[in-house]
Amino acid sequence: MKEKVFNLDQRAVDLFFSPVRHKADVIILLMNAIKYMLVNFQISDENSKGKMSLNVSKMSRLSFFTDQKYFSICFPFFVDVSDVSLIDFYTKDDISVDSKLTSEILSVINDSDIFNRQDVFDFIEPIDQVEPPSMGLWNVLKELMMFEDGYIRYDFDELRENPKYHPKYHLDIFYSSSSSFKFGLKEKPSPSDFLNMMDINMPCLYLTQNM
Amino acid sequence: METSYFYSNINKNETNAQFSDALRKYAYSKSKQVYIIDRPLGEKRYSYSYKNVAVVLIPKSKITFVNFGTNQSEDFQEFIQDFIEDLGAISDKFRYKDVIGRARSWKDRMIDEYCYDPNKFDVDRFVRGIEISDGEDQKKCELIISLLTGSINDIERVKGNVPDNILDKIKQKIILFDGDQTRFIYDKPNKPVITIQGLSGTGKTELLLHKMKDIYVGSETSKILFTCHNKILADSLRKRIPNFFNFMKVEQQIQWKERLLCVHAWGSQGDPWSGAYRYICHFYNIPFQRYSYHTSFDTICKTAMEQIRLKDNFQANSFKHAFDFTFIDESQDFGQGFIDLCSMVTKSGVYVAGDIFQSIFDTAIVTSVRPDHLLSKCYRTDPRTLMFAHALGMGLFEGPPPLRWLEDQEWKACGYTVNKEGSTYYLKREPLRRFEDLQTTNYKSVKIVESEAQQPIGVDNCIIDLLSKIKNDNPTVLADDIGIIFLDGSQEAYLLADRLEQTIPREIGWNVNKAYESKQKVRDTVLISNRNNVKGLEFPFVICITSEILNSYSYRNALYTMLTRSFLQSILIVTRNLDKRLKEQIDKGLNNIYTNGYIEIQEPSESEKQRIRTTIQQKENQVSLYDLFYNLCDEVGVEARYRKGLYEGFQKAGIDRAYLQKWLEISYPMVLK
Repeated sequence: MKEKVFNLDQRAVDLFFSPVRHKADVIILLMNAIKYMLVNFQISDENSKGKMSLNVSKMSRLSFFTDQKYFSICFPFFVDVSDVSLIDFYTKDDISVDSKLTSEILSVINDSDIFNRQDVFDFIEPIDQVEPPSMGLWNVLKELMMFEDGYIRYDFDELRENPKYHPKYHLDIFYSSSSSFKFGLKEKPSPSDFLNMMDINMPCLYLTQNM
Repeated sequence: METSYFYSNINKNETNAQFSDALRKYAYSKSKQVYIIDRPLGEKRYSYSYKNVAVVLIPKSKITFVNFGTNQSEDFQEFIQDFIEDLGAISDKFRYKDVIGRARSWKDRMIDEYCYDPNKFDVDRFVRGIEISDGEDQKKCELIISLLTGSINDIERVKGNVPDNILDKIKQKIILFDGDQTRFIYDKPNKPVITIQGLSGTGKTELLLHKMKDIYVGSETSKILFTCHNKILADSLRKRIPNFFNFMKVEQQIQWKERLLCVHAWGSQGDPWSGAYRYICHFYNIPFQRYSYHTSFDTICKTAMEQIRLKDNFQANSFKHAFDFTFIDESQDFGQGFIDLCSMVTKSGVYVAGDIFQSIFDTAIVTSVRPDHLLSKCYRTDPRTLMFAHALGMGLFEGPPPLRWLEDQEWKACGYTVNKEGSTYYLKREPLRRFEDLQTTNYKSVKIVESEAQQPIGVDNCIIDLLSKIKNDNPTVLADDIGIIFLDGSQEAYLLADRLEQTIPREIGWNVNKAYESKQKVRDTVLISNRNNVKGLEFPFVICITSEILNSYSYRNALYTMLTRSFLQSILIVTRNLDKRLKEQIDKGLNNIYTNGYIEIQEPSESEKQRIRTTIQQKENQVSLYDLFYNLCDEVGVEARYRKGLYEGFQKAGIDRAYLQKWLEISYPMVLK
């Protein structure tokens, strides 16, 4: 597995840790994260307020860490890290996911609630209005709409702590209110514990019942 | 002739004609704004019985009541008293009173009376006699003029002392409608369709809003359509109208759908109120045709007209109109079909506003039907910036021959005064009141900065330096005051914007809004845009980035559009890749504008003009890349299922027809294998 770790400054922490409630939020997060990695400014450890980790393997994941919260989503693109200083993203159809394409996706998603349009032609309109569109805009957008985002979050919440229903250390699986549920944890996991949990090449974890 | 410097609404008669003509000439020759009115223009409720009177309004001069009747008659004094009382009420209504005070406090310094005697009248002496010298009083006087002409300014923006810095001076400048604009708003239409044309930045949308408000308030049952082609623009207009009505202190509620429909032109099947054409189909119960690549909107509108004509009562008195008034903005985006359809379904009046051209390379600048109102003054941009932008866009600095040449009549329609000496043209724009402080301080409204970088991606340091300097030189500057626009459509240009999104907050402390992603203006942020998302935007400072100056028409037009977005300074950043000779020519042209105030250019020969025209026409007739590709597919016999993949491959390859044909002949057999 290849791993790229990026330090996050406060602005980036605020951007990436804003709540995720819908698929559109995941797409926006992903696009902004790709931009952040493409720009690749070196934030010193001293100024770092969090970390973003891209773990590349057969199943790639993008994970974000601060002291109190971690979360991770599936990363749906291929990554070329052969050059030490550069990073490239592309799809299975070899479409480059670059600064331009990510901006086009953001413009479509930001366009007044595109996923709630009543008429299919109203859905098409903002996609059609991107000019001149990058090659493969629709293919990438389609892939983003369809991919299973595999959202998982570790949360530390002393304020609303309730050992039975809202443990201090817990995992939130899924993000929408109709799907999301919690697993309590005995103690705070380290970032590597959290990453290992999702790595199929690492030993599997077991749940023990604690009623 | 009409001049934008002069407006009069008084009934011209034998007693006042000479006076009115003298002031008109004065306004024209001195390039000074002059209004002659007989009542406050924006308010319909005020009228006066005494008619032998005119009120002269000239910025930086006293409001002067001119009596054409008997010397010092009682009626004249009553008129003055009533007029000032009404002015006080208007000032109260628009919250100006806190700034200008009660009438009794300024009456003596701001009001004058004049008894007109045709035998003694001398216009220069008259104007000198009413001048105001004090800066604060000059400002108050302009505020009063704005109230009386209905050109209401946001008092929060313009209040305060006379600023000591150039940025605030321009921001707080009191905006007054010029003669052309005032005529459009207040003159009664004499035909069913009134057209208004002007360059972008001449205030067309604002004027439509004023006219619409005037009609909405004036007749309580009228049903109004306000429309344009673009959906995003229509959405923003719909949001703007309530703010505008509040700002203009309109007391009536806006009855959306019942009395006012503000939508884009087409619309969608699901909602009868989603578009102008959609609503017309609903109103007349005719079939709606939805958006498709295969049918033009113009054809659809013509079909709708035929269907409405077939209605039983079309010729009869019982024929119902869908609207009483229709306002069409950005009419250059439409064919005649939509305007005719609107005219057919509108009872009382259609107002059509549009740009003189969509692109500076449009061949039909002066339309065959002369517009009823031609706005020649562009108030968004300093005339020197506009001259530079036109010249750079049309390649006037680089000739001979230039990329674009306009005929004299067309130069005039674009607001130029044309002087010729032999084959040398001197193209000049009149100075504008809004920018007078820039000219007097010799402020450079255009700057060209050569970056050390060779690619746009490397210019971020240069931008950070410029922003620091702007911040340093203008202590009151805000993040919103700056727009950064990149012209190149390359991936690198977008990467530059992504870098700036991170460096500007870090280095300058301002947040950034990439308008091509957010599709909106966000408060307290520096706006970054590509060339496609700048419509309607304006900033004190604009920074334009380009790697080189290309010759393609779309690029040159974009360059012209970008540079005219500033009202204080446009800064063009070029990379080291720019041709040295071209850079010298541009610098020379700009210096000429600064030093002499005009563009100096050799008129192309007839054959050169012909060549310029032919090249533009050929480009106009050129089929799109997509059409060219599919036509060639037909010729080569490419099966439909392979076309899409090949087209995507082709987009990477190049755009020359011969090359494409060869490429297709080689690639297609490989695909088949």
